[in-house]
Amino acid sequence: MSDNIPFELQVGIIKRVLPVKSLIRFRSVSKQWKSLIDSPEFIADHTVNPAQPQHLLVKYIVDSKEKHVSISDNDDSLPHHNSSLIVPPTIIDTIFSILDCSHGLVCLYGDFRGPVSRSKMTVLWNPSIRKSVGIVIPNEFVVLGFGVCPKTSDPKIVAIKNGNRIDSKAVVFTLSSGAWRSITTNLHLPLNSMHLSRKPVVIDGVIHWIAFDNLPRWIISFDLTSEEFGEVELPDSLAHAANLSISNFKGSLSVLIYKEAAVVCDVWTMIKTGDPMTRFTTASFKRESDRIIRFMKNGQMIREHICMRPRNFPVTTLEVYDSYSEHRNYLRVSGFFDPHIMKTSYTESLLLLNHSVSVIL
Amino acid sequence: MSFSKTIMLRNYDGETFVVDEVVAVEPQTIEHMIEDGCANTSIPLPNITSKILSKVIEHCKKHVETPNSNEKDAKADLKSFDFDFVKADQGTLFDLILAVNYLNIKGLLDLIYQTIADMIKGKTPEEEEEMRRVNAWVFSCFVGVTCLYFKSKKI
Repeated sequence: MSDNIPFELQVGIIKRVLPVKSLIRFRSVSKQWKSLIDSPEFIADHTVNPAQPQHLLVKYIVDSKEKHVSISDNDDSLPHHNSSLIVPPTIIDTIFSILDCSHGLVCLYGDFRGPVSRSKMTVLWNPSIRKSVGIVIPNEFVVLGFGVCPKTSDPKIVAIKNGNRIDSKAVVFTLSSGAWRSITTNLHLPLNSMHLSRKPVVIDGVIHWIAFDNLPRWIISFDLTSEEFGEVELPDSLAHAANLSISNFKGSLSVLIYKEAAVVCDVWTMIKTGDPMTRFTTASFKRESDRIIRFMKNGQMIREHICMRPRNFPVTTLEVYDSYSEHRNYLRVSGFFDPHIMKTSYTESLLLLNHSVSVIL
Repeated sequence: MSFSKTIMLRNYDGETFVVDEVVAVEPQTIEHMIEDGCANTSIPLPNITSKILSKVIEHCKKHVETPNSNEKDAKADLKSFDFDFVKADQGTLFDLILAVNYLNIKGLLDLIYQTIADMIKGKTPEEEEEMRRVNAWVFSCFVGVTCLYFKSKKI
């Protein structure tokens, strides 16, 4: 019997290795393995695999220093502290916010000290392989949303003029082309008075925002594959709620309404796009400042809880909360969380592995 | 009582195995041979040893005999059978993967792929050093990583 198994069998094995850390190390085994793992087909297949290990990215401030931490967050075990992360060098010492996360890429947005003095820049960052690419936003445009097209594994950014008022024109950036393209929005809303929420939610290759006309009225969607906008009117019972946000609940788009001084939270879910929203579950929180970060597959939720320590110093902790048993499990990370920075959850992926350019103008 | 049709498989060691046709057609290779009419006396499998062939037949039998329902019990039973099935030593797994690839049994091949993938992911360099001493073919997977480890030690 020979000592080597045929390469095609080795491929079968490598394809089933999910953790990105292992795959990066396997690139050093042989030239064959490196070219296999670096190939766009392998990266795309790996990226869309639903069984990826998931992590929570948290930024917090301790002793006046900013720290970024990745927390291992898989549905079959409690989240636990994983590792400290170092943000891409382009954005150290700048104020940025996390726009969103998709297929393992975190999209950071803010005023950066880019090559063109101070400009608005977006950085796509893959924390699992520590690679990032910066994209300068054209003047007067504002980034609306980010996502990875599920069909082509191509990261895309949507931007619009005029602050966050919807316009009839928008621009889309695709990483594969490295350029911005104009598209029309084709929406039938009273565009002059509507503006969009700042926190998009990406589900199944579609970006969603809430559109406000003083009060929330619509959900706007952008399909990353077809690059088309869509609109769904919120039912009347939801439409005029004051404290409303959208989230991903068990794979479907859900609307969270914090009622009664934020003690009670209703979750309304749209099971299929275009279906009416059905009321799913009611979770009650103890304090006004609890915010849901993400729902786990088993219906539990990870949320942020602020409590007052001695000498009135607010401390924020993360906890896993089960609304049925009302049981809480505290996660080990605690410190002062900057409320303007979103905590976000990302999966492991190999996207950006092949990308060599560090800033795109 | 009706007789189910049986197929004879003759292997590398010259031994013959008699299996029910439903079990014998799990491997796609054998199914095609039967369709092509090559199975009049016995099907030759010269590159598979008795030990491996009997393991493969055991797996095919179990999966054919278990009803294809969505019942929790049936699924759990199969799962635990598969779990014990792959608890073989690395040499056996190596021979198994070559045989199963030749016989073209998709479900079993996926199982072995996943088993080996779980074995090689997430190992520290020390564990890899140990594996290298134990098994030559696994070493061929890790030679690059081990060299890298020693390189970094010198710095």
